This record gives sequence, structure tokens and C-alpha cells, in this order.
Amino acid sequence: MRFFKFICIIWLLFGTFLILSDLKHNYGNYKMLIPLSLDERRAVTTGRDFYKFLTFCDRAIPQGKAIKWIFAEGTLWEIRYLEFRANYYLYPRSYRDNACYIIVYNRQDYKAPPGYRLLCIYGENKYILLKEAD
Amino acid sequence: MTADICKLIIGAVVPIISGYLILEIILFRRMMLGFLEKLALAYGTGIGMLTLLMFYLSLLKVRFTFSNITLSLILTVVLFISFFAKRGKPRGFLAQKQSICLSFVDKLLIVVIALVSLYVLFQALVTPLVDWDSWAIYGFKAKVFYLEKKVPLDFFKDATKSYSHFDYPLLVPLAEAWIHICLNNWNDQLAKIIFPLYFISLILIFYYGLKYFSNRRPALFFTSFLVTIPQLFYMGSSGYADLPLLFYYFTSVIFLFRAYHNDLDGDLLTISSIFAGFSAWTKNEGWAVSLFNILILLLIMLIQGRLNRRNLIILIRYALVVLFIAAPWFWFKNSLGLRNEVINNNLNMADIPGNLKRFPVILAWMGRNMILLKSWNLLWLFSAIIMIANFRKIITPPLLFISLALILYLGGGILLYIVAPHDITYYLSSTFDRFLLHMVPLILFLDGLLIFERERR
Repeated sequence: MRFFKFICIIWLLFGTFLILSDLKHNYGNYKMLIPLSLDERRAVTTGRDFYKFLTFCDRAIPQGKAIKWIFAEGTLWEIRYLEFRANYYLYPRSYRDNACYIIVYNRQDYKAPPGYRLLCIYGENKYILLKEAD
Repeated sequence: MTADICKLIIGAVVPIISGYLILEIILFRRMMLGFLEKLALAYGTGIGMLTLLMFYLSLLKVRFTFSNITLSLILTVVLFISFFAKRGKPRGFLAQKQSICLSFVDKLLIVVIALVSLYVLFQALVTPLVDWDSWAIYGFKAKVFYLEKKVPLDFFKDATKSYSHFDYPLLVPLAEAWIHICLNNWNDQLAKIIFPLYFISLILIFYYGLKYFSNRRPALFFTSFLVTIPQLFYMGSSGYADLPLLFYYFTSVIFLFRAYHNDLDGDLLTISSIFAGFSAWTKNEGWAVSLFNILILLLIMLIQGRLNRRNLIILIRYALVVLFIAAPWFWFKNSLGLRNEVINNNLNMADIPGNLKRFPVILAWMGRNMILLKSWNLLWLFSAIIMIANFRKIITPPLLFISLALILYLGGGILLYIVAPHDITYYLSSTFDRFLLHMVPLILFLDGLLIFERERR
């Protein structure tokens, strides 16, 4: 019992310390997030520029259309993060190789394939292409 | 915002009420459980039942709307009530009368537990889905189901979305979709409400479970230990399916254990089997949980020398309840040819002997992970000391059955790591802490019993 009482005190003190550390570590984030709207919170947690680009695409591309994305080169997980996040936020638009819309994000050397025209520009190396027939 | 909060409360309360009504009519009126314990069981049952119902509605091509889901839920509850209404009279065999006079220490512990629960709730609702699996797998499917107003078959055939693990059961995404439906809006922040509610339900089941075998004070101490394990309170807001899984897993084992102490009582075993079934409807690991529970139940009968007709029927009924809950999804995914990336797709039996050299790697990883105090607090150190000091107790009945549940789960997990066709270091680094977490409440429960279990009359 003496051992148990000793463990109780250590455990609860240490546990409280861990929770307070977590709170202290995240306090700045919480303080920053609380006054924000859901959209702004998503921007913070996704990456501001990328999220705003996706909301730009969301407004420009009709729902249900096929899209293809071209992202800046990076590590496998960097690319996957962008792809999966694009899937997540832009659904019900789905990725297809032969899509009506091509969204280009931070790719410097990308050359639009034949039959596509510029639909709208978000910023430097960030734009949407549309298939001519569409 | 106020309207959203009201809709969110409706989204949380509807499954609790429906779960409560069904359990009340089938089981609760025949046994005395704490009111909060009943609510925790009702939440787990309600969410499980609601999501199963949504799955069936989708198969029947009924669109996901608030009215369709709620009406079918009401119909289901009415059917259950009319079917089970005349069953049994109140027995009250689990009644425990205790004074509600709380000491200062009790109050302090309750405050700690309540504050951590509030912090988990706050953490969940202050951010949208951030952790990878939470949005890439569960949140994404929830959005698809909400927008399509069904579980669309096309989704499972689209290779560009296969990263969302098509073969994973649908309890969590459908539960999130339900919240979106209640809100009438895709809101991946408020949909996370289901996770802190699982966290609170787990705490309640843990507390009442331990209190049943000991007293209030030890139960409060161990519950406060549980909530101050950082991995657990972090999981309470992350949006992963691991928290619902460990809730169902833990509850199923605890009620199996309670049934053992009550002459294999059918009602307690029904709760255990329902929760084992819902664990298989939450994650694929739940199938292993269900199988292990059935094996333990069989072992109990063999040890007691009571493998008679009555007990065989109990055993078969247990398996049937699990199958009734989990088999439809199993049938669905097999009919669509959905394969598991570990078990079905890349597993080469010829690689297994060569993979045995992973065993020491896995053990070393486990050791390194367990000593991380910032993740586990003193859990593993404390448990190791308690279990070594009480080794004889944990290998003899009745605690043997909890030890066995843990050993089987640990063994099953290690086997999976050995046969998995992944790079083992990557696989361990991305999943092992969550795998250990599944066993945490049960290990702490076992510790509590080893120190404080009193003789039951």
C-alpha cells in the first residue's frame, strides 16, 4: 500500500505536469484558433496558401467535374499530402488523368498540354487550365 | 453558432436515447447498473446501431437524410421494444448500495477526471481534422457519404481514392457523416464530437467496472491514472478509429469478465457480444477481439467443466450476435473484392520464415516505446512491477481471463507485424503506439484488480 500511495502521488503529479505542458505548448495555437472561423482554422491546419488555393479552385470548378492536379516536385509524402488534401477538400470533384480541369500549384516548368486553355490564375505558378471542348 | 450547437447536441443525443431504449428493454431493467454506466453503454450501442442502420439504408437505396435515418431508428427501437417487451422481470443482481458521501480526495480525483475530459472535449472542437488518418481515411469517407447521401459503390472502385483503405469498416465515417447530416453542413470540426464522447464513455465504463470489483476510491484513483495517460487523452481528440475500437474492445472484455463472476449470465454476455461485434464494425482488429473473446469464453467453460448444452447455446449466441453486427460489412467488402493491404494483397507466406528475424526488432521497439514517460506516464513501469509481484494471480483464474485477453491481443499484433509485407521500421513507427494504446485500459484495469480486488459474494 505504501508503494501504491507513492506511485499514486508520482503518477498524478507527473500526469498533471504532462497535461499542463501540453496545454502550455498548445496555448498559443488555441489562442490563435479560437477567434477564427472554421474556414480560417482549416487554412491554418492545412497550410494557408495551399488551402486558399483549394478554395479558389472550389469556386472556379463546378462540382462533380473531373480534375487533374500538377504539384511542385517534392518528397513522396509531400506530394501525397497535397494530393490527398486536394481530394479531401475538392470532393465531389475526382482525380482523372484525362480531366476537364488541370490545377497547377507551384510547378514552375509545367507546359499546358494541347487542347487546354488558361481558365484563371490564382498567383505565380498557381492556376487552372480548362479543356477547350469544355 | 447557437443553432449549430443545438443540432450537434441532437446529433449526440439521438444515438444515446435510442441505444438506451434498446438496452433498457433488452437488458437494463434486468440488471442494476449505474445510470452513467448505462449512458456510456447506450452511447456505444447507439452509435454502433445508428451507423449499421445507415449502412443498411444505403444498401436499400434509401438516401441519408435526417428524417430517413431518424424514422428508421425509431422504427428499429419500436421493433425491439415490441419483440423484447415481455422478456424477464427486473432482477437487480448487480445492485451495489454505497453511500454517496465523498471525501476530499474523492472530490479531488473527480475534479481531475472532469477537467481532463473537458480539455479533451475542447481540444476536439477547437480544430478541424488534422491528423493524417483522421482526414485522409475517416473524414474523407464521411464527407463522401454525407454529400452522396449514401455509401456509394463507385467510391470503392475508384483507384485514386484507394489510400482511404476501402476495406476498413465504416462505423467512424458513418458516425461523422451522421453529425454532418444533423448539422446539414459539412463540418469536420464539430463532427469530432463523437471522439470525446467515446473518451468519456470509456472513463465511465472503466470506473464502474473497477468499482464493481473493488470500491469507489480505488476506482477513482485508477480512472484518474487512465485519463492522465497522454496517448489516451491525445487520442480523445484526434479523430482516429483507435479510441472507439479500444472502447468496444475494453467493454466487451470487462463484461465477459463480469459474466464469469455471475455464472455466465446471459445478459452480461449479450453486452459483451454486442460490443465485440461493434469492435469488428469499427476496425478490422475487432474481428480478432471477437474471436479471442469467444476463445476465452470457451476456455472458461472448459476450466469450469461445464461445456454443457446450456453453455454451448450461450457460446453460439455470442458468436451469432458478433456475426449479426459485423458480417454484413464483411459480406459487402468481399462482394466488392475490397482487399486488405496487409492480409490479402501483399502477403506472401513464403516470406514469413524469413520475417521471423523481425521478432527481436519488434520487442526492442516495444521496449523503447514503453519507457516513453511523456507518452504513457508511469503505466508500463507500474504495470510491470505489479504484474511481477502478483505473477501467480495473473496466471490463475479469474484474472487469467483478462491476462489471456491481453496476451492474445499482443500476440496477434506481433504476428501481424511479423507477416506484414511493409518495411517493418516504417510500419512500427506509424502504428505501434496506437496498437499498444488498445490494451492500455485493460492493463490498468488488471493492475487495479491485482491490488484492490475484493471477494465477491
